[in-house]
Amino acid sequence: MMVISTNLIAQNAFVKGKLVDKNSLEPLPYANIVLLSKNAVYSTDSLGRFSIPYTNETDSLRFLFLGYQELLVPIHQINKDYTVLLESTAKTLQEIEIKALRSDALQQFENVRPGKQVLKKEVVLQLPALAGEPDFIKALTLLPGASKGIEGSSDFFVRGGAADQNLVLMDGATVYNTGHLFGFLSVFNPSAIGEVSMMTGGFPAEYGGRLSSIIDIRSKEPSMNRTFIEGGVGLISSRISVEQPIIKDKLAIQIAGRRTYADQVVRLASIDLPYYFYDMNINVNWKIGDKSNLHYGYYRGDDILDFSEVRDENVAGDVAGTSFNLGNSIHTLEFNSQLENMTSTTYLHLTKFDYKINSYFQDNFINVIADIQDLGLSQKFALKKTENRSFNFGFSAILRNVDPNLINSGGEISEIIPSSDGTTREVTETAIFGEWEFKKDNLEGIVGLRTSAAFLENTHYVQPEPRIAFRYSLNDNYALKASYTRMSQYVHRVSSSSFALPTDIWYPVDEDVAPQSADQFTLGLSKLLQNGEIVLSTEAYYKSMSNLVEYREGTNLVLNNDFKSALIQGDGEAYGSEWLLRKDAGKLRGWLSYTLSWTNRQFDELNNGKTFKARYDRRHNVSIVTNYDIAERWRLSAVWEFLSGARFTPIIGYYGVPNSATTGVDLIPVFPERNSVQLANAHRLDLSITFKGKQRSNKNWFGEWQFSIYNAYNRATPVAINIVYNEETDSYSYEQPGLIGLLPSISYNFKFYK
Amino acid sequence: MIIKNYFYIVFFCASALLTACLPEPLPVNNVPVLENTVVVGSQELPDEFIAISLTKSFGALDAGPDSDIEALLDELLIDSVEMFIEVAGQNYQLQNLTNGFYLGTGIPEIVGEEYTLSFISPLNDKPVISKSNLLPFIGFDSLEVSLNETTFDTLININLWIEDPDQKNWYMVNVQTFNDDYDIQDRPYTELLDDIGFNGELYHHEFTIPFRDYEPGDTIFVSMANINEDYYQFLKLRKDQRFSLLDGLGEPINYPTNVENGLGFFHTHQPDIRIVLFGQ
Repeated sequence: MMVISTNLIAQNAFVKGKLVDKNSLEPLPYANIVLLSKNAVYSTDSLGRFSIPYTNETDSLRFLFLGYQELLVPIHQINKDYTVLLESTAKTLQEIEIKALRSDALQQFENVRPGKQVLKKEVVLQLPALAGEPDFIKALTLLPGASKGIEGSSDFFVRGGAADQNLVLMDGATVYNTGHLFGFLSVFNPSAIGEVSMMTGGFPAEYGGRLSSIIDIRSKEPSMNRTFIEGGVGLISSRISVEQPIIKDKLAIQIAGRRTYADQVVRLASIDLPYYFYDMNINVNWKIGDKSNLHYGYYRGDDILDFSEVRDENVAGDVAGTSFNLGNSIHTLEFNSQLENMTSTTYLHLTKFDYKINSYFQDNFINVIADIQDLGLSQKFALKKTENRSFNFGFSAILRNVDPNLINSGGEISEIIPSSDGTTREVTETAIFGEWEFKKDNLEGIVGLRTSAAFLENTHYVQPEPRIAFRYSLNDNYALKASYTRMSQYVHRVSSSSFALPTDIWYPVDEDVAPQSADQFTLGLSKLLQNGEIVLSTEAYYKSMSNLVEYREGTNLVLNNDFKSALIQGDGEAYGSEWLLRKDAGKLRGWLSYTLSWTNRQFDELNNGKTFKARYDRRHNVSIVTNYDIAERWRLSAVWEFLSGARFTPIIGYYGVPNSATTGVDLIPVFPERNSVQLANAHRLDLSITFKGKQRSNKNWFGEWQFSIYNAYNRATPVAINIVYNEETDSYSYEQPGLIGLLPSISYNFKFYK
Repeated sequence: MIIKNYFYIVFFCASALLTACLPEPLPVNNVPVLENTVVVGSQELPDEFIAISLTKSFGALDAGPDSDIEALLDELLIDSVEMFIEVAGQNYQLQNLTNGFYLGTGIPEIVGEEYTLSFISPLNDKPVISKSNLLPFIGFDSLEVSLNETTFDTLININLWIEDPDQKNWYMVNVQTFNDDYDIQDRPYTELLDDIGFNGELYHHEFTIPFRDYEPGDTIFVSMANINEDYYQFLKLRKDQRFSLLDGLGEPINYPTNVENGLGFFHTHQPDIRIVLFGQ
């Protein structure tokens, strides 16, 4: 255990530090800490850190963590050494990790805000994964309130919202594109990530900018004491992370990388696969004295496709090809400092998402460039007035620059898609926020206000966003929660109503496109079972949304720059209830979640102005997630999902009219009411079995093999409706194809420290 | 060598991954069936002012690429309907030729008048009504058709001039090629012009027909017409969808129609048609 202390011995002195495993130096989150003189219990945070007020330096702290030996340490010793290692009673690192997860569900129970879920890296790594690639985003969709889109896509939908209404943050910076491989895998390398939390209601005032959810992804803190290496080898890609102290206990760095290698492998068989993706993360952590910390994070990831062919060797210049490069780059800088009873956190970030397409065919070419870039600064203060009262406040500012579809074309294709320099749009998005937290008897509450604004060249928008959350403890095992929040969104991703592509354009508010906003009410009840090992929670919500964005009917979706005439705005509502039964400790761990929900849309210009169901209005959503230790070195994991079918608008007929020159017939498709057809219900079972390598006391290498089967009973998850011809009956019929069938995979994950 | 063997193992696994079994598609039983509706189409025939085709819509499962098109058309054409045109207080009955065609003979061409097409739908016995104003004839002030030799293709260039009158106008320009045997080559290429930028002026417009390789002997039909705004909007929507290789993957759209209790378009525009034949 390593502790960084303050030297205050006054009434408001705090002993601060971080609890870590003695062997691996991994942080131990949510461990219990008892201050002996008061017999008061405190807890480490998700990264193993703690801050505990004390009055007497001769007092002691007792550290309790399931699977570890209990430890009593005097505060003066902590202040002096600030390094204490908590020793495991378990036999393997993996077992320690499993038991360390116990407090995830408890954290949810104790949180004042409803709608907050936490997933740790260890949980995600245990789940069966598509092609053996662990995926934080897909794991989140197994929790109540979140729903999947098209099978395999990294898009997800929270409480009836659209995919672009989820704010995905990586160390405080927006991640605009969350998917590699056209969305099939998330851009987050599990080896570089520490923890993911999802908020679907009761949003803190410091967060804003999206209507439906905040996905807060935190990088892993690099080890300050030892070299630590972890990684995985899968069928599609491999990943590795190296953590290295530069100045022991002061400065450390983590470098992580991941790349697909199918392109290199098939080259051995003289097959050209012109696609790969990679990503890399760099994290540097510098502890400046006892009271300050500076963290720098960098992420870069790209999907690269480069294809070319000679069509006719006898004709000079008869070539065709396409190159495609799509990626995010993110820089973050975070500075924390402790001032008496106030904590100050400053964030600076630069995030950019862009894509470039270059296609050519004979003497035709078309080059497309689109990007969105944020330069952001935020300052947050947390003032702890008393044990039961605190005040958080601060501000944020983002300078956003959007270049949608800059097109350069030549040859015949320029007659169809002419060159266009697009219109660069600059928006400054700002917010000030403050919230007061209090606790009185059984009632805890947070009352806050965020006022956000967007400034454009010719106009501006200002939106007050109240945030209120209460928690009332009925007794030690029951808690009632309620919240009201308003959220505003100043940038929208514009996608087709049928499907989303990585190249969908992000478009900011302008003179005609107003900010989206949502008012959400949540009421929840949580109950602890079996001495806190199991948490049962239920929440009901109602969300009213306005100024939602869609394409006008019949909009040309191919490289259309005319957003002013293409975009329309309307309203929506969503309501439902969510149930979660979660157990994080013991041989059998996992959760059962169920969501019953409705979500509708109303646009004057769509569906003849009539209300229609949203594309992903899924009535029922069930997830059963289990991890079971069948033996000391064997673990069985299973995930079963049931999702009511998504909505679709298929062509139901045609009619023919003379074409414009009356030289033939033009067949016109006929559609039913928007999203009036429900695709078949989807359900799928994924299985994995993990075999852990034998751990030897003199070895610092931990390895495990994971064998996974995705879609074990090979059931189609419908993505659309096709018309197929049946030769036997000489007739046509509808069918719903799925994308991915039974898919076995194998992967090897390892950890090493020195 | 070890690395190479490793690559072979990974290659084998990757191949297994790529060829993993696809799930059986699921049946669909809840797609609504399209109710058949009459479809009105306006034909442009030489020397005939009003010619109407009458058909009906069909379900998505009634036909496809493997269907017998002639048999399908026989089923879709609607004959033996009493069809009328009313203009300037006079009612004219159209003559039913064969194959769902109705011809209006002796109907006067009165610019600015509203022409009302009416009949009883044989599909639901409800009245079908459609109206169209006869707009002034506006043809090419001048038309120049030339060939543009590129490295790989011979393309058709069009230069046209329109003497646009003061009132609001919308224009449609079609270019259609026919080969030696007068078989139609592809769909017509359509340019749509809104005079918002050249109202009341002599307007020059130039364009090239992309991806249509001219062959010696081809005949080029170029036509233009002054059209109503609703038909212009309909054509614009169709043109915007030209990249949708699969209609089902585009935005759902309910195309506009000016036919009450039916589909399609009744229009009365008067095209200016030019025929160009280059020497060999």
